[in-house]
Amino acid sequence: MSNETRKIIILGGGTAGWMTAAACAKFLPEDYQIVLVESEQIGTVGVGEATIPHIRYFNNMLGIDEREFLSEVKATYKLGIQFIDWGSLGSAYIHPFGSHGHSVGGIDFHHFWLSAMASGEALAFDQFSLAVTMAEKKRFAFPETSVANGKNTFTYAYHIDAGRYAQFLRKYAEERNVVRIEGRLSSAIMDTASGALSSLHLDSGAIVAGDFFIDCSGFRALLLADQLSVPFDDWSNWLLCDRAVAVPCERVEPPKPYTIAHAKAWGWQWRIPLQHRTGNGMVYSSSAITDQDALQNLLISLDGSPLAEPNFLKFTAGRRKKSWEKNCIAIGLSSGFLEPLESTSIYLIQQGILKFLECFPGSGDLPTLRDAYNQEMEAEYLRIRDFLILHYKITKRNDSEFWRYCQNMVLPESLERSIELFRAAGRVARYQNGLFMSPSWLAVYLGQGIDQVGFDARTLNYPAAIVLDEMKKMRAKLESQVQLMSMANDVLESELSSSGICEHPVAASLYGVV
Amino acid sequence: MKKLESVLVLGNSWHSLLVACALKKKTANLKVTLIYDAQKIDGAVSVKRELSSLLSILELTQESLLRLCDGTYFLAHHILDETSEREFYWSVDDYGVSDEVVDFHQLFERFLWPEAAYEDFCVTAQLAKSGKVIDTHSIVSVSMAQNTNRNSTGLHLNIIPFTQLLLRYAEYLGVLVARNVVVNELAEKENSVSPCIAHAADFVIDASMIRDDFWSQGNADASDWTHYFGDRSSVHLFGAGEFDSNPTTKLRISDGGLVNAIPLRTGVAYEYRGNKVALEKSSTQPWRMKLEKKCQNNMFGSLRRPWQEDRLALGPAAARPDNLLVSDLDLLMRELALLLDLWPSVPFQISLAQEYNRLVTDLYRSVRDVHLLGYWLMQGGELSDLQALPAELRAEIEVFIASSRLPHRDERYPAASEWISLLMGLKKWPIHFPPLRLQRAGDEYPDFFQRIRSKVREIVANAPHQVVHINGLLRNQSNNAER
Repeated sequence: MSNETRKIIILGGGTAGWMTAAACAKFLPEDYQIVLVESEQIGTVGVGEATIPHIRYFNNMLGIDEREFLSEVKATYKLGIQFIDWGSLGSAYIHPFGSHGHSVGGIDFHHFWLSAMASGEALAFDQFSLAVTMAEKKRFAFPETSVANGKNTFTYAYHIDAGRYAQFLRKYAEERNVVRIEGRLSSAIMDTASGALSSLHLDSGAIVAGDFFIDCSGFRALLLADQLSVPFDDWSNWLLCDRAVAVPCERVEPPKPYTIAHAKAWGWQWRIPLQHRTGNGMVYSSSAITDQDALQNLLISLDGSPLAEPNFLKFTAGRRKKSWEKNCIAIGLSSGFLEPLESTSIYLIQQGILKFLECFPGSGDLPTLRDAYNQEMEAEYLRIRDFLILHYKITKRNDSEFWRYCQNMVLPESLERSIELFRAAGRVARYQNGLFMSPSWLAVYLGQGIDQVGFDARTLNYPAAIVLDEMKKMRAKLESQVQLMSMANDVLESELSSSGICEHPVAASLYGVV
Repeated sequence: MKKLESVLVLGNSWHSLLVACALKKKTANLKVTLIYDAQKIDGAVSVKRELSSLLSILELTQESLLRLCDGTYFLAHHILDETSEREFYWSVDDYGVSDEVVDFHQLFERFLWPEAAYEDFCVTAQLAKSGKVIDTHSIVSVSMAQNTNRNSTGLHLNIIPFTQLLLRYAEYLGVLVARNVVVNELAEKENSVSPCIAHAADFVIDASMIRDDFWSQGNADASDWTHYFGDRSSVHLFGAGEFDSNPTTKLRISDGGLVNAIPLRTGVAYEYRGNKVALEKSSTQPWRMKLEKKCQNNMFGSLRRPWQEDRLALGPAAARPDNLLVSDLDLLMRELALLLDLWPSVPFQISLAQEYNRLVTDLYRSVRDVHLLGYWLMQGGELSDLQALPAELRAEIEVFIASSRLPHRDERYPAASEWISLLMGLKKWPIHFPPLRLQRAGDEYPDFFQRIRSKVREIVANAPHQVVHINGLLRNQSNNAER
């Protein structure tokens, strides 16, 4: 590795590759050379049709206009994810991009809700979320920073055509001098003294030399795993699903402003409404169902006619033990894979990019930076991993071997401790850094009906009748507020037909715009 | 299982009074008994980051608290290194404004050093420097992103009236205050606590000040940090003095040691830190310490499990991570916030205790480390001295020097931006910066910085002087009382 890092090679297009290229083009100095190597012969997974609000922050950083983006990637608005049949067969809840209720006297709302539930008189927990109320009524409004009307208590993301997003960013990056080279990796050359990568040999015979390499080659991790031998940490004993099959279909109704994740006996099924089609897929455990049966189950549940041949994927949940080794960083699936249950794929790409830019070594090899990057990415993955496992663990389903295993599996210690804490006292284990904070954990714990939950006994100092009355008023206020909002599809149409720059508040948060 | 209905708080200072008040205020119907073995403690205490929480417990405005406790405003630490002529006003506020992904401190090094001072770009630092304060009836802002509001203001309080205020308030709230009670020991029987005194309770909180045995030799449940801090004997002295016009806590670094001075309306509370030899030399210093009477050895450390079963230690009984840069009062408020968030319904809930211990020990380590960072910087910030620091802090400093960013840390306190301003203000520049592209043309930056500086100057020019402001408050109060 030379002292001056001037030439960056990105291996692999797709969502991760082009997001990385676009960010490098925007934020690295003009005299840096950014080269992206990809092959049209290799298909992309096209991760992240459903996103979380952080994508808005990323787009905003790149200076992308939201209306242009909506139009180019055929996006629709997303206020959360509806989980059907997860807690038990017949149950449903929405995990919103927002919070629930408001605290009283320093005591969080959910303790009052748990207290009311103990007397059997409360509505479902998600009925106290503005974002959920909007989603259920298929209405939409933009969040606001003002606290006056509660519109600061939610935010939104998009459903996107990930292939179009990659194309959109490719155009963006190429306009900013990113060089695309068509080719497949044949071999990589390492510096014998340092063990760092020095160049890529392509099947065309071309040699692409660089100072720093970004592995966006997907599951295969051609550089980080094959060349630099970074081992894989396998989490499939907790996240059993190892296959997916995806089939888009015709859209038959106005898009709902939320993703659907419908639990099945062998995994779960997604439904993602876009402007021009609906994305569908089945995520499953190959030990619980065959590929063909999974496909059949998917096909019979489509809303409209299939628009493409099924796309089968194989994967293993887990991550590379380091995301950065020598002069190579893996971003996206090459760094790790967590099933798209909470739409975290693009978020993890984005975090990989932003931390890379923050830690980018202008010169030399800096082990302290590598260590910091690896530790922070590990924390991101581990905390998301625990949150995903929670969905499978907190369930009363026992209708299949798959769910019986999930109910009884031994958990990672960190998650075990979190669930114990919640069961004992209704408290969410806290951390400062990580994606899913208290509102998300509450949405899943209480949405899936975790039983035997303690709560803050100080709520009992408030008369039950008054608490219930306040909760009714809170719910009525949300309903009347949402009633005044436009239908989500009408807002989308209006935005698409409008001109000029739109500026809605943006924050790197799941729960609001402040 | 028995519900938690009564709490016994043990203590001898404002710490225990504040704990009792907070519990009584935030947990209705809880019987709170305070065994209060009052010690005569004078001097000053400051509160900044947690002032709004304190005011919420006391149901007071900051003006009232200031008036009742011989208080002055506290906007920044004024750090003056007499050995190297470094000087810095360290505020909780943001310094400057970031430019997209490029943080202000990265811009500063690139464009402004050495012509400008880091604090030129921070409203509260400049107010502090000019002896001015924020008019609490207005909210001011600098440029797009820098907001200065009441959260930036702290207070210096005289411990004696503050203690008296808390005592009266505790009694007003219904805390049963038992004085002159001899507390021998808490009798332990089969791992459960039964206070042997007359005031039996479901839960016991030790918030006493003098419990050095907690981390003295042989206590396996304590981490002793004294070796990180070195021999830091100290002398406290409350000296009469003129009403200092600057709303700052002053930290003077000299060859002989370090002097911390907190100005009150009726005098100044000094603390001298150093080794004993240096302390002896300090008797010639202007502040004229009376060493022979008041010298004490400071101990640093924390309990590994401050909450055990139905017993919990808070404040100095639980941790002493130093208090020069983060005050005892700020730390206690933070501990109380954690405790109240995890307040148990029954006397012992192991998962709550584990969670509290996890969070609070991270908090203690963070406060310890910001002090060690401060000392390291004040002593010159030599890389060769890094080895003496805890590994996590050492790694953080190395990452900062290598990249100009601080790595993530759970329960970081104070905020990362404050750590960075301390590093930048005491001139520990990063060696490497990520080579990020600036989002403006190079010739636009002078104007960009000038706008920030002008806005800061404008706000400072229009702000009232502390002396005038406080005298006005006192006069109004006096007039109202007469009416």
